[in-house]
Amino acid sequence: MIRKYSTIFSFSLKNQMVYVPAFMFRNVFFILVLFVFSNLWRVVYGARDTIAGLTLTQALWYLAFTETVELGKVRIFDEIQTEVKEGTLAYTLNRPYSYLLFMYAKGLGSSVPQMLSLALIGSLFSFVFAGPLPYFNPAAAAVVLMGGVGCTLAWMLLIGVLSFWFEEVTPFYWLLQKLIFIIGGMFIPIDFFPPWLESLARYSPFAFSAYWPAIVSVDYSSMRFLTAAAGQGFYILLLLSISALLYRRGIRQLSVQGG
Amino acid sequence: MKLIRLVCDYFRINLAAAMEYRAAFLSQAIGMAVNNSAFILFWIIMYHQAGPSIEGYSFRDVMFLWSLAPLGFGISIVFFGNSVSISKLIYSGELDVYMLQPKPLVLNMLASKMYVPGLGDMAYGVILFLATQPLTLTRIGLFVLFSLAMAAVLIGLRLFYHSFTFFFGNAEEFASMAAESVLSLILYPGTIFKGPVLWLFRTLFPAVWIAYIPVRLIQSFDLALLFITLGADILIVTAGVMLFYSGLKHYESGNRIGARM
Repeated sequence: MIRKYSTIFSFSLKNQMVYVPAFMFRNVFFILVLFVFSNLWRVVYGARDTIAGLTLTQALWYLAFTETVELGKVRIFDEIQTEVKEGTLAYTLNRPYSYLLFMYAKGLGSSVPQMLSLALIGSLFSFVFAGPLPYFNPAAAAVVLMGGVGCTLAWMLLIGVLSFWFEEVTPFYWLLQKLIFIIGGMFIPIDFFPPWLESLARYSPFAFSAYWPAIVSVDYSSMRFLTAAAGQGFYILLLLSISALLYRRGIRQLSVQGG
Repeated sequence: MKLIRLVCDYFRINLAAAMEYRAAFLSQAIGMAVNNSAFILFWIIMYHQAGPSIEGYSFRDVMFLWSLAPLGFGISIVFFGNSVSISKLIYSGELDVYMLQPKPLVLNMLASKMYVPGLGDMAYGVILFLATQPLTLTRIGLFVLFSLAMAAVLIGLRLFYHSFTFFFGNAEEFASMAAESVLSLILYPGTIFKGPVLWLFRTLFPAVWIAYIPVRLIQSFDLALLFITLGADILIVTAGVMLFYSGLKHYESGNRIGARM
């Protein structure tokens, strides 16, 4: 069963690899964000060596990693929404795979090449403008960055399934995006938050899409890595289960309406 | 006067069309306002770490930027919505429709479309201004003036960037990216940028004239600087219009048959 979805994953991956040069051009915007924040952090840090245990170098690399996850993901809910609206979803019902897992694997496969190009550009920029990270564990970073995209895609699967009940689900995506931006610590590490917000944000599902992958990448410890991986696994399973439950209900509704 | 009436007529018609889909209209406009609101929290956290000032910008100054930018941007896409699609109009030969009508080409083309989410941006800009700024007559007057100037410059810039499509084929991606870049730059305190990069922000990505100097003028008013800024704004818009008309000489009709209701 795993082989089926890993094949879908690798097909999407190969498909998207063709577009890597195009991503490189589009990533100019990513460089601009890093440039603005490198200036902003420099001013905010001022004469201080660290803020909440992170150096200026780590703060800039942190943003490069959160943006890699955020800009690297593919908006799978768009396709689900279209298929539900047009009724073409009905054609997938008799195929020998789970529609949700198919979309999830496809989304993961399509996100990898974009993430690779973003990680490359982000690392290059951060290295030139902030210097190297004091310690970096590439294997752990790869796992949690993929986990971060996995969490965001699981959210997007859930948003896509909501199309059975809502004509336009994009506003749900906007809401999710803002929650990841702020509560998830995409621009500012959660350690910098005022205490009341920090306790609310640290173990929220949104933090496992942005804060945890980035903090493990810039300030590795085995405890942090285990927390990040466990949290990501938990939330991915939870969100996929809720999506599956809703999907089953939605499909029944689709059948009643005649597809 | 006739031109203003043309823009108002387009606005009325486009708004009536948008109101036919009330639910979508409201969700888009409210969504955009919520979208912008999230960033207030971002700045609260940033100032929590930075103290009362970021390189001369207080929290209130940054909120002024966040009021000015959505209002200026909103005006530019609500009243002149086609300004974001100029490249497409050029490469798909759709300019023919506007060239044949007895109205000034640029204004007619730009004003014929409306982007509904822009209304949410406009409302957000005004509400944030009312909520965070001291309401003196001068400040309100400058806010309105700078918002209109920003809208004009953003439209002028889009004309400028998209006109490259006349010369180099489809420049849509470049134009969108350049316009997005300016929008991103105007949301941060201008004083954090130092060195030669500021020349870029005065010319190709002129955030200095539409955001950074307006904040300086709000902090301490200087009539001469106001005139210099407005002069620079007029220059940018003129450059955009001139490049568009010079590119128009290279325009090839799409032989498209189209009807505009």
